[in-house]
Amino acid sequence: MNGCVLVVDDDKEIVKAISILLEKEGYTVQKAYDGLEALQKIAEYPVQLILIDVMMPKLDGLSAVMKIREKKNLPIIVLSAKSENTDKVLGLSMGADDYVTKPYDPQELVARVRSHLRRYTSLGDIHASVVSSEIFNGRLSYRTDERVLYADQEPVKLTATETKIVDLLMRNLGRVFPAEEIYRRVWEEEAFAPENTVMVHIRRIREKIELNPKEPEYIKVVWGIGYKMEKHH
Amino acid sequence: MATKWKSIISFTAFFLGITLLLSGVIDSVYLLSSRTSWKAQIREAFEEDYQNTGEFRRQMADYLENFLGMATGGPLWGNVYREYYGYYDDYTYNNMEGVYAVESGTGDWSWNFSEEYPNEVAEAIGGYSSDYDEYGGYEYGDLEDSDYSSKEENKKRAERYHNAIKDDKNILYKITYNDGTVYTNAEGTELDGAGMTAPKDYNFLMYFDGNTVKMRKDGKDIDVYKDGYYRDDSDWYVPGYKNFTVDEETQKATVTIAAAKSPKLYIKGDYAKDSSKQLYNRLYWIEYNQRSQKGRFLALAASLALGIVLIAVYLILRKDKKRADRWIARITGKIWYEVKLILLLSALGLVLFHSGYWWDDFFMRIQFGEFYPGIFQELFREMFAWTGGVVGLFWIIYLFVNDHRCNQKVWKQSICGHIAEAFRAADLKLPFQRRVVHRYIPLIAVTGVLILLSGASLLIFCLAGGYEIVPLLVLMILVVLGAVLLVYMQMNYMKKNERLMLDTGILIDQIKTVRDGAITSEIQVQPDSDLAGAVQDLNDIRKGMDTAVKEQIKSERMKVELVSNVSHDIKTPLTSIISYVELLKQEDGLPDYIRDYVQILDSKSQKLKEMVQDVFEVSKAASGQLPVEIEALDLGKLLRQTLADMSERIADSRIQVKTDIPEEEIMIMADGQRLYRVFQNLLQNALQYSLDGSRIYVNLKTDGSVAVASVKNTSASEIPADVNFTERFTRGDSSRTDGGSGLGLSIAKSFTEACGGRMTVETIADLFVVTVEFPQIH
Repeated sequence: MNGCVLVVDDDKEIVKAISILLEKEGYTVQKAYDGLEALQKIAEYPVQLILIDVMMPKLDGLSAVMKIREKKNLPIIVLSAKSENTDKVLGLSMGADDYVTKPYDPQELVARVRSHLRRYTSLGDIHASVVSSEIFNGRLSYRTDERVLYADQEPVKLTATETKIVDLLMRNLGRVFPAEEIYRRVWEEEAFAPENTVMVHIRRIREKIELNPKEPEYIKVVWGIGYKMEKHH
Repeated sequence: MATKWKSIISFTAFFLGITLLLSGVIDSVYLLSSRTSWKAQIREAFEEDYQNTGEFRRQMADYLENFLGMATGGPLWGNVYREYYGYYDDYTYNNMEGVYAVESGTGDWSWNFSEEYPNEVAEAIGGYSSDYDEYGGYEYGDLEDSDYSSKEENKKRAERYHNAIKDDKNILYKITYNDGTVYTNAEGTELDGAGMTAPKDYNFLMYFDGNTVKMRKDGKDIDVYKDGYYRDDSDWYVPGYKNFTVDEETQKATVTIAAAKSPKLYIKGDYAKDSSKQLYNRLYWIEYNQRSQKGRFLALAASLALGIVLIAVYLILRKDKKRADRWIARITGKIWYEVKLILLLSALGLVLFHSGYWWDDFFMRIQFGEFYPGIFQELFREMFAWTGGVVGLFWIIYLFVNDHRCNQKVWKQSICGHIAEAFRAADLKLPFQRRVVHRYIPLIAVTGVLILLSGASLLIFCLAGGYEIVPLLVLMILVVLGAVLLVYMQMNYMKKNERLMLDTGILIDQIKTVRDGAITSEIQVQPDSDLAGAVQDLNDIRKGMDTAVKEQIKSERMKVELVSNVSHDIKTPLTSIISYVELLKQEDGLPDYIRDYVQILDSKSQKLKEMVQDVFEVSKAASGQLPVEIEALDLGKLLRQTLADMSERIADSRIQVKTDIPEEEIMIMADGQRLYRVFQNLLQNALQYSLDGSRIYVNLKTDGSVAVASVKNTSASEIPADVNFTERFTRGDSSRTDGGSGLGLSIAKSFTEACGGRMTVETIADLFVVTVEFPQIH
């Protein structure tokens, strides 16, 4: 019993597919096919996470999210076919915690559910073990004294070079580093055209920390300038 | 209906009121501007007793003079004598009463100036024969060959005069000389001068005792001499003043005259010689004229009062009168302007020249150098003598002004206007180039006529040697008029050409503006301009372009909407496909061939997912709706990052990538994320279609102002000619079996342009070259 997830979508096949995927991972799944039904299910069952579609009959997803947010603080992931940035911003501002565009990658969706649930259920643990030397950034946390990176409270196994890169980026959240600077500070020597070397390492780190390494959320390329660790809440 | 009647009433009140007021004012001015002061005129007209008027006093003085002449055997002058002295001041208007008497056909005017009426009187007073000619004046004319010192002749005249007036019993007289009665018509009456008694009904008595005159009216003596000196304003022109004495012979005479209280008309049937005749009746006519004068003044006052009342009515309804004005103007507007002008001018001429006398006099005086400003006052008076004429003129002017006020461009509704309009219309039908040339034909014609006229005048001058003055003069005047016309026409052409040039300038500017893309601006010139047609055409072209562009924008937007909707509709079932493929993939114990099938489903559904996203983005970019975040970035670094990002794929392929990217920064303004997609697509393209074992060259160059990045590769297959590779869904291989979406280059191009750059594709044999250019910033 890892947790109870409510899946809401007017497309029954999608609800079914997601349910199967999540049940395989050991979650209990409640199903709803419109916004109103979703509200009922939340009242009836101890739902810990909601996956909800935007365009639905009776009560649309965003309105449902607003209603849920009035009472519950559980993680909500919005599913939508709209992929524009403005749609994402709207969804997040309505109170959603995450926004996944259709057609989603099933593995990535499951990873996100897992990540959100873990953070939600172990929220108390985080606060209990707060260390002054810990840097939090969304799913990630980095303990500077131990030089260990945690993703969803799980320690991430990094090589020495990768740890150096993570150390640099986590200590300077949001700051853009040109490849030359990263190279100089990590390898401690000047380099000619270090892009390839840096990129290889960054790709490896991404595979360890990102939910979908092809669409990274944390270590991002600022094209034409450099690399940065994106700041999250 | 009510407003219609209001209009009619208002206008009628206006018309009658103005007519009455105007004629009243004109009559008053005319009446009161005569010899005596207007106050005295009114006072005398309203005098109850005719004996209190100046006319009566003058007449009595005349009688006295004539009677003294008769007593002493001197010549008789009478009224005529004094009229003579009045000649130059105001001969025409000297006797207002007389004028009306003449009009009524019974007055004494004719006594003064006509030979047909009491002739005997005229003859008696000195054989004077007046010549009342057609010019309204009379000449101091043909006196008979008479000797005024001859006592015999004078006695005959006195006899005749006595016979002419003695039966007019409105006056009784007794003339004595040396204490013997000479003439009297008062036999058997109690007329006694010395005793100052007169018969009943004769309330006025005048007695000359040889030195002074005594007068008694209604039993009361009249103070004749006041302070004893005669002045211009003295009532009585009779001897006896300290400065008006008589000679010794006259001192021997006495004259007694009594005037009737109410004069009557005396007629005598002299049937033995002639028909019945009215007698002199001077006093009767004085009273008659005074009474009729009073009537005139009363009528005048009444008409003025009525006029004022009517004007007040009009003022109350003046708004309704404006409607009537407009209605009248609608009618007058239909009349040709020339007709109106001729009507106005002839009315004006008729009023000014209606008697003609003044003009003759005017020119005569100018001829004799006898010119003075007062002559215009006389013209004024003469004009005012014809009330009907002046009022009529006023109304004609009113109609004319009303026409001008209510109708626009009244002169267009005229013969000349219609002819000019017809010419202009015919002119506009001609093509522009001929129209401009045609315009000069009248100028040439006028010039030709002018030359002919000048030649003719020269010929006449040479042949006639200066004797044929009149035709030469006429020709010269025509030449001068022609020259003036020529100058006027030239100025007109100048103005027209100036406007043509101005319009041409406007047109040229507009052509340039439209070419520069400002297809919303429109120009206007006057509709009668030579270039109006061209301007209209240009405006139509511009409108057509505007419509086309708007249509295009609209259709682009609809296309994007369609693509957006379709891609959204595809995404939902695609989500299911991908989800269930994933479930299939996780299924254990599937046979290997099924696992292969699932593998194919997986890759194709992933491909479909990418394509849906690509189609959506490229349609947005093509319609200019792609959001971009422009910032300064290093193009070289971006290329290196892209190559690093794709290093795995490059390493996996059998194709080498050769780069030539300068180390130093090459900064441009662009959206990094979009530009990464551009080069990613270009490199993917190159990797996919390059010949195995060949090389891809990635170069970046700059000339300081433009950064040029290029990707060159050798195509594996033959590149077809005449293919626009940046067109959507275009591929080198038309069989569409290579797995590409055909959107790669299209996305690259539209993203480049959305960032403000330029992308070109070039093929040289099998060499495929894509160039991306951005303006460099420093």
